[in-house]
Amino acid sequence: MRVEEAATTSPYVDLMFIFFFLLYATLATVGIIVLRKLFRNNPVEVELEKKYPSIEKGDS
Amino acid sequence: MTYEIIGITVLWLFLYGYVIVASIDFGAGFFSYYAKKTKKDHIINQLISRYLSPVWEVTNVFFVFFFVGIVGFFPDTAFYYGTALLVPGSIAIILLAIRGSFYAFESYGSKQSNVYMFLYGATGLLIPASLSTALTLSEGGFITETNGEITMNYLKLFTSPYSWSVVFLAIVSVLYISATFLTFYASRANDTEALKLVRKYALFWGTPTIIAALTTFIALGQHNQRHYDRMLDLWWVFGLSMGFFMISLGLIYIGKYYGLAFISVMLQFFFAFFGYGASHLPYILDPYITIYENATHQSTGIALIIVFIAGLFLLVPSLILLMKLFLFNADYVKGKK
Amino acid sequence: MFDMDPVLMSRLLTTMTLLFHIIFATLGVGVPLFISIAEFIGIRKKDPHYLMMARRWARGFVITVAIGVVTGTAIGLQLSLLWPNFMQVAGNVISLPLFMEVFAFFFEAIFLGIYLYTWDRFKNQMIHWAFSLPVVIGGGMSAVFITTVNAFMNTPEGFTTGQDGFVTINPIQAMLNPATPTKVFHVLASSYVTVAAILATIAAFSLLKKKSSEYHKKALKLTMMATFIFAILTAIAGDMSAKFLAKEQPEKLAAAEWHFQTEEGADLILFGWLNEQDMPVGAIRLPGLLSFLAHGDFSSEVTGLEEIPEDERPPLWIHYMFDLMVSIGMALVLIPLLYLILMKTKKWNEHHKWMLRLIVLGGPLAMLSIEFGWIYAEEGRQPWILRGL
Repeated sequence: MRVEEAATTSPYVDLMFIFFFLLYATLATVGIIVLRKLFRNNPVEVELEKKYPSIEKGDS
Repeated sequence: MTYEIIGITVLWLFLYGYVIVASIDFGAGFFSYYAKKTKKDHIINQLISRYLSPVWEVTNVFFVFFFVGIVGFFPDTAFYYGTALLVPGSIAIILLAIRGSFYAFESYGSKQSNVYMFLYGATGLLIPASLSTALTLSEGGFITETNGEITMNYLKLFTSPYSWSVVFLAIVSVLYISATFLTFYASRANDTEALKLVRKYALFWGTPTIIAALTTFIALGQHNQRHYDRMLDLWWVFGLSMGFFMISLGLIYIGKYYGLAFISVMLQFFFAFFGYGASHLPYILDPYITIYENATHQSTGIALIIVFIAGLFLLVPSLILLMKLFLFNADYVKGKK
Repeated sequence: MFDMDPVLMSRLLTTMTLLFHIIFATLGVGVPLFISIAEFIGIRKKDPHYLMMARRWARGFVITVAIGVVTGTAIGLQLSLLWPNFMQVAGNVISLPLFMEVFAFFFEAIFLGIYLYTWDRFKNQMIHWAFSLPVVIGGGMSAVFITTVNAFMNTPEGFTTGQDGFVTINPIQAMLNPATPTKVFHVLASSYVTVAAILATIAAFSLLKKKSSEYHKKALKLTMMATFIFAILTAIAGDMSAKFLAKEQPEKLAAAEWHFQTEEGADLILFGWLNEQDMPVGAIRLPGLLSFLAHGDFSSEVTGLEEIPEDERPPLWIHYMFDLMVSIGMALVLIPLLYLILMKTKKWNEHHKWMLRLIVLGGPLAMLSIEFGWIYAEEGRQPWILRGL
């Protein structure tokens, strides 16, 4: 079976392409922003000290 | 029992599972947005997010199970529904994607934002509305095949009273299921303030649910006489559903046994859903797809059923563990863990 | 809507969804393994740094899982929405692994939920660690099952057809078609190496910014060693894949290598371009190496593109995809090797600025290599969606 025999015949695929492009662009952008916020606002040194206060200073 | 019947029963079970867990989720989205608008969010949002956080992904999988399963058991559905549903299907995916990912972004990522909350609430109503269209289409009359070309009559869909009554039924059912679950969950958490609020929601959405169900039934009579007659043959199943509805509403009204009340709601929808499904048979898409003529090859069907049973042995204990840890662990529910 | 060809647009939309989804799918397969390893080391050595590593990786992982889930749902539905005729036919044979994939994912999702919300709930930390195992296995098995579907599109087997379609179907044989073993091995190994390289990128980047931090140094050492091991496994898997292609899908290999005439002792052509007579120009020629890649023997015969009917040949530009994928694969062996040599040699410093900069490049390159590899795999199957049927 060749690719052209398998595809849909609906004329709206191009419009859906635009919708999905916008969706993925949003997901990528917001995802990156959220990830950056998540780690920027919570550096590992601070978290280590909070969670394991016994850890020696300067070691982390 | 033939493998076709087993197949469609399994699929219907998955769809029923999705209807219940997704309704809880969709409704919760609406309620938390509504609570925010009426400045009551501090009362219930903690409750909602404690339940939803660990389970949101699980909800989505029920849906994926259903559509992968139906294409597996009845591959012709891919051809008819796949071609006809390109636009509504894509819109539903986009809404689901926005909802799922933004929910995760909000709860794991940053603090509350109005945009997230709005999206979370709005998609909670739009998704059931758009997904319910597939059930409307299955009654026939909207999708037509001429010389192997599938066309979908959008004008007829948007002007059909049946189609709109299904949308209405879907939305109010979502709200009723969700409200009764949250009532049960709040009572488990001993959160009296939240309980008062969500119990009010539950009592409010009970009556519209039954009105919508009756309207849909009447509208179906005008749209698909055959299905309507078959439903009348199964009157006792719908009678049971009605009975459980009365029990659930009664229990919530007297303010006792909220767990039993939610189980009654589940049974109410179980009987209604299976009564609807059984009377729909043998058609999956009236008149093009029937479970007998369009089922997959027997060996594939049997392999799918075996995998399904093996999978259940894996999943049911895992799900029980999940529920024990989060849903039925009193300390967790109360927010102590 | 805009009068674009539905076939072309369906291909483009599927391409876009897959290229986006594969990033998160790769992370979904690989990250749980490293979370699990870090937590295990942390518990065993009672080292809070490793425990913190597991926590922080898991926290970031959830965000990527969310995108992976929703884009995975999208591609699952798009298969039916954009390729209804394909699913109508292939659904009969290959729905079994699709169904199994959902089970594997379900299993993974349940335990991921448990894992994320039970960090401090058990006295015995090993119980919490044990919850990571179903996540690792579920993620790996999802990849295995879904890869069998892709393998089936390349070498469909496990059925016989008559006048009205399928006569017999053996779904297990369809799953275990000839392309399955090498493809599954390649996908798994490359997912793990990519994730190791990306986690190493994060560690190296933090070290460059903050100079010395014990936490990041430990993370870097762990991920560099993993990158090295999995990069070698990926290279072995790649070699096996080439030998599989030479035997079962020669047109895919020939198009990637610009190998036009069937000949013995075939040269491997790297990069370059094609002139008007379709002759490679400006390329690096490695004598006999294509024969070695294809059959493990420098003088063996390799099928050329001339033997394939013209309308069944894949596009020739996939050559670049193949070469880029392999070059990055090689780099991912060499970067950690250099790091390990620097580490083992007392006098040298493995945290040198330039070493770290090189490692920072590794992660994004590895993900690019995944993208190139999939473009090659999918374009190399053209014009077929089910090869030869």
